[in-house]
Amino acid sequence: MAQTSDTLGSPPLSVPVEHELFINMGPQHPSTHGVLRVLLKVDGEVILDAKPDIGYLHRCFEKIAERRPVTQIIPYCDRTDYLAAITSEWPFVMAAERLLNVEVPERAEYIRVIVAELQRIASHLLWFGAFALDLGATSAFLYAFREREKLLDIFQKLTGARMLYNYLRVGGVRNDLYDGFADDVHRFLDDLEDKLDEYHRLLTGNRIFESRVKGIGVVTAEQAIAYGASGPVLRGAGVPYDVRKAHPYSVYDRFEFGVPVGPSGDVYSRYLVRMQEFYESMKIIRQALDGIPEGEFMGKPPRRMRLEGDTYARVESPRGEVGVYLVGNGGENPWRCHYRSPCFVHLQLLGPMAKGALIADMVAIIGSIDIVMGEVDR
Amino acid sequence: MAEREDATRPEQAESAAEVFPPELQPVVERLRSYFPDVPLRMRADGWLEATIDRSLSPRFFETLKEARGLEFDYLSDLTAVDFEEKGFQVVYHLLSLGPRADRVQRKLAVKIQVPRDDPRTASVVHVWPTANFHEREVYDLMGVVFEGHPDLRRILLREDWVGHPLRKDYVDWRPPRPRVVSRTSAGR
Repeated sequence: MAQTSDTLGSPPLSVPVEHELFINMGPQHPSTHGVLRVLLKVDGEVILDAKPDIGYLHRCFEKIAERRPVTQIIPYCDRTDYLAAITSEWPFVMAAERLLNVEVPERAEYIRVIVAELQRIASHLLWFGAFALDLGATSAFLYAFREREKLLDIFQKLTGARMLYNYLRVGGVRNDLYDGFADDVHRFLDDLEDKLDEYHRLLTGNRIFESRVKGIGVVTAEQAIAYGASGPVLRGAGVPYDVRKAHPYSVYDRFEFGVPVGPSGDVYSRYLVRMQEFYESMKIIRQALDGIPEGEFMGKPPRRMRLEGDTYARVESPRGEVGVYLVGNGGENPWRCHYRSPCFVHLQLLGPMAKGALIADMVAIIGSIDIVMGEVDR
Repeated sequence: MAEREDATRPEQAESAAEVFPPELQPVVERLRSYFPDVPLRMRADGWLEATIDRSLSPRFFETLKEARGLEFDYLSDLTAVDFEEKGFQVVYHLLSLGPRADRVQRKLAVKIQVPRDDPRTASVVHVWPTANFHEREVYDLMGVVFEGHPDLRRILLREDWVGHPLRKDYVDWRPPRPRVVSRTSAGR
């Protein structure tokens, strides 16, 4: 019989003995990337166990989604993974399109891909800056944000907002690309290539950086699959699984791009995977801009969006596999909208990754997972 | 293009749900050889769907993971839906990662119906460790108890929270917080 008050369960970490100490990391902490609390059991500086405690940013997204029509839920989707808002909206919109049998015109698909890959670059830039900052390389943070500013300007011209766009709609996108969009993006990408060389010279191959990230936070391929990892965490462990390649959606199957895979599943591998993903995203954007057809930016969704049936739609976000399980029962509001967050799943790996590491390594490990608490807690 | 993630099939009638695409035929046959009584159907979005009774869990899931020809080693999502009088439906979405190309197309959704007055089912943490947090979340927000879970406690809400908010019949009984309005307002 389910109990109405929560008295189940054992305490999160076993009772400490002798030299062991419980240390709290977070929820207010500059390196936990949001309101994440990690309970560390340490013996001196060495971590014996780490358990994440989450829920500080829980905003009842799934409950609210049961009380809103589909179009009104899209802004809430933005705010889950707020650093990659387009890929947060996309699975939801895709799920609704499946349930409503709405066709998305080709031009809209191309626009979605371009914007999503630009979003991937923006998210990885922020990850790069924050990751380097956590390890002590302060200037990298400023460089990354300088590039990101240019991207946010492009997003603002396109969608009206810098970060939380409310741009995707059931059946397409809210508005077409503005005149000069392609020039802006090409100029940005050309500039980014030079800047990426700069970033590589700054960090990759830097002996101090390498000693802080090589061999830290190792995840084996079997562990990664068993723990449901996805995105750079899974690919850093050597598993070449990318939703865009394995189960292609939208028009991704028309583009040539690679899936970078890391050598050894440590923090350094995940870093290398994300750095390479910059180049792959640039390839996709350039191909998409070259091939984008003329046409409508919006399909023909029904006037009353009555959802019937259930579906699970997945998208490759910068953090991993984002999924939305949408259940309709004939009404305009979803009956159930579940958001599968990759970072929620990756937090389970904190314990296995941190065993035997130092507290300073914990910072590198958390940074390498690229956590956004908005997505974890919803 | 049956393997596209976003395939929609507007023409699919109810009876067509029993027709399985050729890449999934071996999986269907293998599943039926182990569990002949489990109803299987194709969902419109390209996922195979199995509905099982909770007594089959966790043996069903262990077979899904270990058996040759099935090898569903990746649990993508575990969630629950509240269907009011019909109870809760726990939904698992399983994939098969692996180097051989034929594994990529295996997408299976498993649904377990549990009654509302006894919402419990077996945990699958020992099959897929990733289920740990998912089951905790379902317990926290829906109140479904997963037997065999090593550490079943709330994950998103405070540990002293009462009730399971994602249920359709959840009522927030917390008393309203007193609002204090200062008599000397800060604007002056």
